Amino acid sequence: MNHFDEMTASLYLDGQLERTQATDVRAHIGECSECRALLTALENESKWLSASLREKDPVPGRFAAPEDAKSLPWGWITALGFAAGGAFTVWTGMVEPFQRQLNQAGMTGGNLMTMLFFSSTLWRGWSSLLNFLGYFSAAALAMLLVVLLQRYWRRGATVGIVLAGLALMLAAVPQPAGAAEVYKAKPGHPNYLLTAGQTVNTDLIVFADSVHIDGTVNGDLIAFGNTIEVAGHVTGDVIGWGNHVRITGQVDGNLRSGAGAVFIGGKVGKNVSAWTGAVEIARGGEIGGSLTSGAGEFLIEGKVGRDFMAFGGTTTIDGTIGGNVQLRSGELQIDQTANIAGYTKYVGDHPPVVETGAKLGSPVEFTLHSRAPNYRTWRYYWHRAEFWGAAFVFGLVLVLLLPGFVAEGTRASQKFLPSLGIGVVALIATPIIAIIVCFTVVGIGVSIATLMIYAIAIYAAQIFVATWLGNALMGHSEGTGGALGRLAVGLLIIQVLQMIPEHVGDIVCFVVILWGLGAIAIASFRYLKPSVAAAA
Amino acid sequence: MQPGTEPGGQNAAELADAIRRARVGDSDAWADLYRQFAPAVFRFCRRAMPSREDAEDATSEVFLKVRGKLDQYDASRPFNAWLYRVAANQCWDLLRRRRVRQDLETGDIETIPLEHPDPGQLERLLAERSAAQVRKGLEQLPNRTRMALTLRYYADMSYDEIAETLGVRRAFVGVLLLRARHQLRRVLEEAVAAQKKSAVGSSA
Repeated sequence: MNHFDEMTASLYLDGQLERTQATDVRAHIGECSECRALLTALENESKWLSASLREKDPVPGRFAAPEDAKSLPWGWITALGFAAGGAFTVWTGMVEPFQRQLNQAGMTGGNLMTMLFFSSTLWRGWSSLLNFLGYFSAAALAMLLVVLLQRYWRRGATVGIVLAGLALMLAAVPQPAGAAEVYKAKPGHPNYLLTAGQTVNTDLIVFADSVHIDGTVNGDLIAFGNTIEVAGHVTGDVIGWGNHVRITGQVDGNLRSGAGAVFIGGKVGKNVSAWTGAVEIARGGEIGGSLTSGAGEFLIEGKVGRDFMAFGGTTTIDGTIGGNVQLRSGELQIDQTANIAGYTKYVGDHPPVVETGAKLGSPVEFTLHSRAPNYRTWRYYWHRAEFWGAAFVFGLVLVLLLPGFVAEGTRASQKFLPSLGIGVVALIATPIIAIIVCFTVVGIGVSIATLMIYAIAIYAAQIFVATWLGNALMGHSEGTGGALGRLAVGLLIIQVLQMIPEHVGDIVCFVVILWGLGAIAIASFRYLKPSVAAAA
Repeated sequence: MQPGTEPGGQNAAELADAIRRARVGDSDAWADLYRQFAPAVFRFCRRAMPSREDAEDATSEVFLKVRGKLDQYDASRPFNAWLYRVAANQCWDLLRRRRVRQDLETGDIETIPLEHPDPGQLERLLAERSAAQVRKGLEQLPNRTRMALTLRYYADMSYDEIAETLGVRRAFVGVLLLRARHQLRRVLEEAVAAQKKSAVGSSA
């Protein structure tokens, strides 16, 4: 017999040759050292493959024999305790007052998204904003439910349910489509003018450089533009995003605005919420409901029918407030012509200046806003512990839901400078992209979703940095339990570092956000790209 | 020996008992089975799938399947062999659904590699590469190639079982396996070359 080929040798070794063939091979290797060497090498290769593949390398914790699962899961109990505490604090400190405010302000109903984005007294101050983070502990608990569901359903179904939930939320956002007239500026016609006497009998959505309404809109006006002026009459709400929003005519509904400056010289029948550089209610200007706002500067010379709730830089009140004033501001000046029917609560950097002659329902309750945290109170440390607990629960859910993503993000955060660089870009670019996307009608939902993910990513940034930190200190862990322990330690260190006074803590916080955000961006890119290894 | 033949040192009677109880919905028995076999199944999926994440997903789904199909298990055959069959079908389903590189794999498939290996060179390669490096190299192979190697050398499946799982003719399994070995050798040799090159580069 001639030398046999590798195929024959391989089949012979696997016992796949017919008997006569096998006998031939056996006879041949007795006399041919060359073929014997080949056969031996192939046999060794098979053994080597089996040994390599069957080596008992570490497996993730949830697949490894979980002897430790029988001991009490103290991490869970602590974390859930903190989460419950956080949820309780959020409820008593925010949701209940929020609902009260809402009722007082005459804003009932509406949906979650409008509440969050337009009406929210959630934004009434930075401390509230910080507390808002505690809200994540409640959200994390909800996500925990998803994890439990996942144990019984396939992952695809779970993701489907979550996506369906998100879609439902987005669907709950008032859909401007339907019976609406949409105008988009075209080259050469950058402006939109509804002349006096003209009437639009549906909702009106306008994208244009300058939007001028002199006529009547029997419905809502949703406008995106540089200058938006309503000199005519809008019977519904006005939602305006632009550089200047001016109401010199009449709006029967609410005004919701994100703008450089809001000027109200006319009449707004219901409530105004505005997140802007400046708000001016001119003499003769009137708001039937409440004014809820965040702005750099407030000048109120006209009339606000109900409450005025705001946070901002400087506030000057010359006019009439029908309800209460709740303010978080750098400065507050109440002039002699002012008339405030209810109470005035003011938290600020400077004492209020109240001119004689000003009519106040009760004297101004002033709290000096101290920027330095109060290290002497237990409350401060309790809050810190709550932040830690909330972040841990959030991380826990992340690790359980997306173990691969967390691992990828942690890997990415090992490269500090690239992560930091990409973090800076992501931090700045995302809102800009969201705003640009917003300018297409279908884009509004996408834009809001993007901003929500952005907010979550900023919060999640610390998880990745903490996991990296834990791994750096305690060594890498394959198991889920070990990973969670490292996460807890990392978060604790970050919390402690953030407590350092004199802005060091703030800087730590900022660096953690940039670093983690960059890692998330890198990880998302890698994670969402299908199976790079398979294509190699 | 097959991996996990004697998981947790439990004997066949205890295992049969655990399976019988798990079938009638005893969740402790099920937890027992899971504890014993999850590592082996995960390792199977880890070899068969291109990434760790895929392997984790696949493992979870395998156990969901197994739980539903436990009735169909024929107690006269080894449990872990049956488990690997379920895992193999699950992984192959997942990979096929993805269709990455599928087109490339179907062309030019039945040709037998012509170049003959130099036994000395092959033995050197075996000596140079660690088990972890072999598994790493596996990740870089096309889906079917990786799958074939896993079925044969991890799960110890017969040619018939491999043919059935991958949906190929039985006569083709030998070719498939040999091609797979060639591809793995090439990947590992390239890694060696790259390593040497970088070592030379850094010392220069």
